Amino acid sequence: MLTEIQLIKNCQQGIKSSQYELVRRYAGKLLSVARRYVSDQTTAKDILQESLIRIFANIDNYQSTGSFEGWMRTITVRCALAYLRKAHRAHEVAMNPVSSDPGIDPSVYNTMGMEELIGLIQQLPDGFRSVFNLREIEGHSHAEIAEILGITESTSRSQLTRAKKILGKLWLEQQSINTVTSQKARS
Amino acid sequence: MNKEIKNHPSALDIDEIWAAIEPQVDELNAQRKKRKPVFIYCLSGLVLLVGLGLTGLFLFGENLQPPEILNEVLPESTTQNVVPIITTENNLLVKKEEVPSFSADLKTAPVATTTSVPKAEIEEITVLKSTLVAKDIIKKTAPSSANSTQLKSAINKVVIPNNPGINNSTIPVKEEKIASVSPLTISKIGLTVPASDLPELNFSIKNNKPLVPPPLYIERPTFSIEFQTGISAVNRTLNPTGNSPNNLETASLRSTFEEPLEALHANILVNAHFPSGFFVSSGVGFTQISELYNNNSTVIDSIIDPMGIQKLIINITGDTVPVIGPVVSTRTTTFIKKYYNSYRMIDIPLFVGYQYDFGDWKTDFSLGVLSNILLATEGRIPDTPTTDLDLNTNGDEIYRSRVDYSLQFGIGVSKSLTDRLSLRVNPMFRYYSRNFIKESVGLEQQYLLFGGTVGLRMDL
Repeated sequence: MLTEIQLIKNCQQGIKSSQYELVRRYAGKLLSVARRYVSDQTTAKDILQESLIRIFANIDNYQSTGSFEGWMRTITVRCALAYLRKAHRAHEVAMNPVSSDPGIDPSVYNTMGMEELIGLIQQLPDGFRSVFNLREIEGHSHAEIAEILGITESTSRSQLTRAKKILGKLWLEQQSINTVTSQKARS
Repeated sequence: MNKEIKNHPSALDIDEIWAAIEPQVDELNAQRKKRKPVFIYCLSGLVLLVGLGLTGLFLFGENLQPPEILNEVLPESTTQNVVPIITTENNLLVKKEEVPSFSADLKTAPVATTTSVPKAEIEEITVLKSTLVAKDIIKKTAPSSANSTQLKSAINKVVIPNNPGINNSTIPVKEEKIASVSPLTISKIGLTVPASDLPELNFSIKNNKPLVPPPLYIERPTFSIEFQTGISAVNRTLNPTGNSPNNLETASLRSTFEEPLEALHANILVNAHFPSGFFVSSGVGFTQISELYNNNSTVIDSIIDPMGIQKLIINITGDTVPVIGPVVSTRTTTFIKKYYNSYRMIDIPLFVGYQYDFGDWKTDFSLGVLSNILLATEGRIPDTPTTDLDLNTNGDEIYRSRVDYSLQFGIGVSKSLTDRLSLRVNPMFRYYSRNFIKESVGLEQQYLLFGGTVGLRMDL
């Protein structure tokens, strides 16, 4: 099995079998990244394909000082954000009405399955989802998020707060559905 | 939570994604391949340009003649009387008061009052570490009738500047051409000659102009160009680099079915021959190693046909009823395959050697490194007992694009055909110590070539 360094070298030389191996190793993780930024699976796959093409096109520029996976993840995030910008969705969501329900305890996330959590994140409005992902998952500061998304820092902060609240609400709804389902199953 | 969600992979059909991006990946790879030859052409062009530039410099550059050193060894104690010429920045000036000393060494001759020598007139005189140098263009020398034998031999070779200020009328002179004289020799000359034995020398030096130091002495080589062509026997080693069963099987398959044939060579070399006998050669070399992939084998395997007749039943009415279903059959395949594979290389050789001259015949030995700039493959190699890999399409995935370097040792014998043309036979062996195959493939392929070249060498 090729090491990561060998895999990168081979991809830089355009060796097809290694390019396939790269897709096999990392496409699943990159699809998860894309899924967190867009709501539907088909769009996420489109973003993944676009990201992979960009990765192969720019792999010569990859500096081996940083994490290769992190570098690929960054490309995928950029592709997703570019898609959202193109779709003019980022600006629309700021005006979406948000309920004033309280958020949930962050420790709750730890009890959730990852697929379940991704499912909830996908239900967030696009703009909130982007801010939530960039801040909570990727770990960017509000200043960086503001620059990436072309919004103000205060907008980023407020969208994050709202995203968390919506996520809490969605989680509670999910919980109640689960409870009903399990009761039905028992009876 | 962050880490978990970051590392969480989503389920997807890899082949579907790959199928979607494959055409664009192919396009990117094609663009990459286009860039590679451009780089190689640029590199080759640069090497050729530098080679031509250096050749031109030696051929048409300043004509540097080595100075002839006098053989006479004269007493060292006399050197103290030699007059130094003082340097001023980068120029050299002959000072007024120093010139008499110079003449006084030859004989205490009266000196004119003018201060220094015009540049054009004393361009052959200069200073190296407080000694005088006289170089080129002999003017007039002392008579052969001088009393001292040392004076006789030395004075004949001393260069006296063609200075109109020198009064030569008192010296019976003869014209003789000598290339140059070393600083040491001059200093010694002046000190060993008794003053009474010297003819009277009167000269004056005018103006105060800089002296230009002579160019440094370089042993000038002669050049030749050589066109070589040759053939070699090939000894190949092919081994797996690890203990992987796949690699062992591939190595075994290839060793069974592949047979090295011969290697062909074609070189263009520029040789620089130094008077000492050493020579340096460089240029461009092409090598093609040929192999035969010959597979005359029979493979027996089992295949499952999903829709075969498992059995036939003859029912009570006498009808034949076939029972359809998966059927395991034995397949016997006979392969008769013959492919000629080739590994083509372009190298930049650099040889250093020594040549013995026996008149029309010459012999030499040389040792060198060939830097490989390109490896191209063609043909087919076995991948499994039943399948092959096409090197024309998959060669880049298996073989390296450059093989770093190889080493060569050769012995040459040449015979002059005309004044400038000679025929040279060069038995040699070459060792490719570096692996031809990429590290990731898990095989090691190396070559040892033993053969020779025949070439025509033309002196430039």
